[in-house]
Amino acid sequence: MRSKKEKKEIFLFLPRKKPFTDWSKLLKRDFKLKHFYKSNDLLSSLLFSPPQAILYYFNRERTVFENLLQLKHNFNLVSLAIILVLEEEDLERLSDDRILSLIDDLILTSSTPLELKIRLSLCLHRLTRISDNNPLTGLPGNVSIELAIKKALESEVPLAIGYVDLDNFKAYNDIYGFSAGDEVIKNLARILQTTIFEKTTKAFLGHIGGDDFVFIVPLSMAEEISKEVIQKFNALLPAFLSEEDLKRGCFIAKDRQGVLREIPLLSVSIALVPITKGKFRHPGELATRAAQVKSVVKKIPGSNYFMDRRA
Amino acid sequence: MQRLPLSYIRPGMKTFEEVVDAQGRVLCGKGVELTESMLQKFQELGVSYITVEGTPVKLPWEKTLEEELELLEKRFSGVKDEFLLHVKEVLKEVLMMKHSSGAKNG
Amino acid sequence: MADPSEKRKEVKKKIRKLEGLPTLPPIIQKLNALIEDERSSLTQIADLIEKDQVITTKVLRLANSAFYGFPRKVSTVQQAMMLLGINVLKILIMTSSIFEIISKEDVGLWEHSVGVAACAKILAEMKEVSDPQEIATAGLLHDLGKVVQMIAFKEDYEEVKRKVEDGLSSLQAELGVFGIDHAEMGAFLMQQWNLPERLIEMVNSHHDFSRSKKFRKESALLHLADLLVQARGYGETTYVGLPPFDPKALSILKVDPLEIKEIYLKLEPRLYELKFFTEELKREIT
Repeated sequence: MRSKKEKKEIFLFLPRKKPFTDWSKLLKRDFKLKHFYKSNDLLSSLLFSPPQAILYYFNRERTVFENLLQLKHNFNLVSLAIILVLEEEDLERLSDDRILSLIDDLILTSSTPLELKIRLSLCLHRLTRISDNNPLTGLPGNVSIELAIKKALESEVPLAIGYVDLDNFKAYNDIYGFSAGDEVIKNLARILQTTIFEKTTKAFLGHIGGDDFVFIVPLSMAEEISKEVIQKFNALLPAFLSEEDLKRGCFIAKDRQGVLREIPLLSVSIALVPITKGKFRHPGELATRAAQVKSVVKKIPGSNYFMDRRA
Repeated sequence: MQRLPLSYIRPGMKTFEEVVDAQGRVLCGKGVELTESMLQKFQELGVSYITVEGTPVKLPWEKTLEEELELLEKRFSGVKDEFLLHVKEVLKEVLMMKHSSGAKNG
Repeated sequence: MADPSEKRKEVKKKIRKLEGLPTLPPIIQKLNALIEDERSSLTQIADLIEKDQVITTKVLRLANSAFYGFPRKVSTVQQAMMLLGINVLKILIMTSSIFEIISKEDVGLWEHSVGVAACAKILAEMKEVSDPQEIATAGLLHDLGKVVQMIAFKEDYEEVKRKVEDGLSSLQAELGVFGIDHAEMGAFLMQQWNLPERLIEMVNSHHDFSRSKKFRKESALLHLADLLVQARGYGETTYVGLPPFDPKALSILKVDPLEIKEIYLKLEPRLYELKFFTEELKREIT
C-alpha cells in the first residue's frame, strides 16, 4: 500500500519570465515550490531550512552562487540537489571543475517543462541512491576515502593522514543513549569540517562510520589542525554531559563483567601518519602503520594527538 | 590618567600602565611615549585598551559628578525600599570615588 | 478593550511567523569590516557579535537548528562559531537585515542589554554560578522581547510608551496592550528558534522568577543585574526610574547588601569600556 508521500521542496532562483514561468506551472503539481528573486532571501532560507533541490539560473549574481556552493560544502548538504539552469551559450563557461564537483545537474533554458520535471525527479532519485556518503554526517564514506588515500600516497606534496576517533564512546552511548551519541558524532564532524577547511581547501575529510573519521591535510598543518580540533572538542564537551558526570569527572558504568566501574569521560584521539611519495606502496601498509599509532595515542588519557615519526 | 580604546590613542601619548595584548602578555612598560609604529604593532596583536597619562581626550558623553548625582536622584525619586536606598548610597560612594583625584578610567 | 487572552494568542501567532529580526546598521557595517579584514581573529569577531542581541540570537539559532541536528545546547557565541565556521558566519551576516529607521534612543536598548550582560557575568563569577559566559549571553538577550515589539508590533509598542508616559508601570502597560510581557515574548521567540532551555528560562523569568522551574538562581541573578544596571543609569529602557525589584533575589543568590559595592567597583570599568562602543553606534546613527 502506497502511503501519501510528502511533496519535496524546491527553491527556484529564476527570472520572472518565460520559459521559467511555464516550468513553475508544471512543477507546482508535484513539488512544493518557493520562488526567490532576492539573493539575501534565498541564502537566508537556505541557512535555516534547506530544501531538497534548488534551480539556480547561472547568469545571475556569481558571488551568490559561490555562497550557495560554500553552504552546501560547509554543511555537507549531500542531499541538497543544486541544478544549474543555463543558456546554451554559457555552456563553455562551465569548464570549472570545482563547480562541476559541487552541482548535481544541468538544464538548458531551451528544455521543455516536461524535460525539466523528469530531469529534476531523476536527480532527486539519484541522490537518494548515492550511499557512499555517511547518512549521519553527510561526509564521504569508504569508497571515496579509499580513493582519496590512494591519491594521497602518490602526492608530490608532503601530506599527513589523520585518524580520529572517540575514547570511551561505547560507555557514553550506553549511559546517554544512541541519539545523544549521534549528536556528539555530528558535532565532532562539524568541528573537523570547520577547522580543516578554514585552514586549507587542499584537504579531504571522510567519515568511516561510527565515531571513526579520517582526514588528509598538508603535513605542515597537521599538528596545528589536531590541536585546534582537540581544543574545540574539549570546549564543547560539557554541553553533552550531565552535571553529575562533569563534577565527578568520569562516567560510572558496568563493564563487560557487569561490575560497576569508573570510566573516563569522552575524549578525542588523533593518530597522524606523515605521507611522502613512495613511502607506502599501498593502502594496506598505511593501515598497519596507522593502527600502531592509534594504539599509542589511545593509551594516553584525555584528548590527544600523536604524530608518527618513523621513516 | 585615562583609559582609552586603541583607536583613540595618538602618537605622543605616554603610557600610564603597561600595555598588554589579548593573551595578557606585556608588550610595553609604563611611562613610555607611544609611536605610530608601536600603535600599528598593537593593532596587529589585538590590544584593546591602553591607559595613558593625563586626560588627552575629551569624551563628549562623560558627565560631571554633579550631573551624575542629579540623574541618580531622579532615577531614585519616590523610592522608599531599604535595599534600594542602600544601592543609591553605594552608587553615590562609587561615583564620588570615580570622580576624585582626576582618575578617568572608571 | 481587547480581550487580553485573545491578544496573547495573536501575539504568539505573529511571533511564530517571524523570520528574523533587524539590527542596528553600524553593527552590521563593523562586522562586515571585521570579517573582511584578514587580520581579524575569531575572538575579535565573537567579541563584537556578543554586543548585539540580534546577531547573537541568529548565530545561536543556526547552531541549534533542528535541521542540522544540533542539540539545543549551544549557548554562547564562541561555541556556535566553533561549529558554524567563518564561511557560514559570513553568509549569516550578509543575510542579516537592518532597521530602516532608527533613533538614538533605540540604541539605549542595546546599551542596556550590553550592560546587563557585563553585570550578569560579574555576578556569576562572584557567586560561582556555572558558565559565566552563558549567563552573560542570557543578560544580553533578556530584553529581546522589546526588539520584537519594536519590529513586529510598532503601533502597539508606541502605545505602551504612551501609557508609561501617562504613569503606568512598563510591565502593566505591556500586559494591557499585548496581554503578554516582554520577558515572555522574548522567551517564546527563543523557544521557536530552538535556543537552549537554560537561556530561555532565564529570560522568561527575569522579572518574575516564580516562573522558573529549574533555573531559579540564574533567573534571580538576571533580575538583580537588570536592577543594578538600571540604577547606575546605563542605557535606556521604557522604564522611568527603576524596574520593580523582588528582594527574594538577594536571598536566592545569597547576595549580602554589603557586596553591592564590590559589584559596582567591578562593573564600573566594564561599563566605561562598553560606553565607547555604544557612543560610536549613536554617532553613526544620524
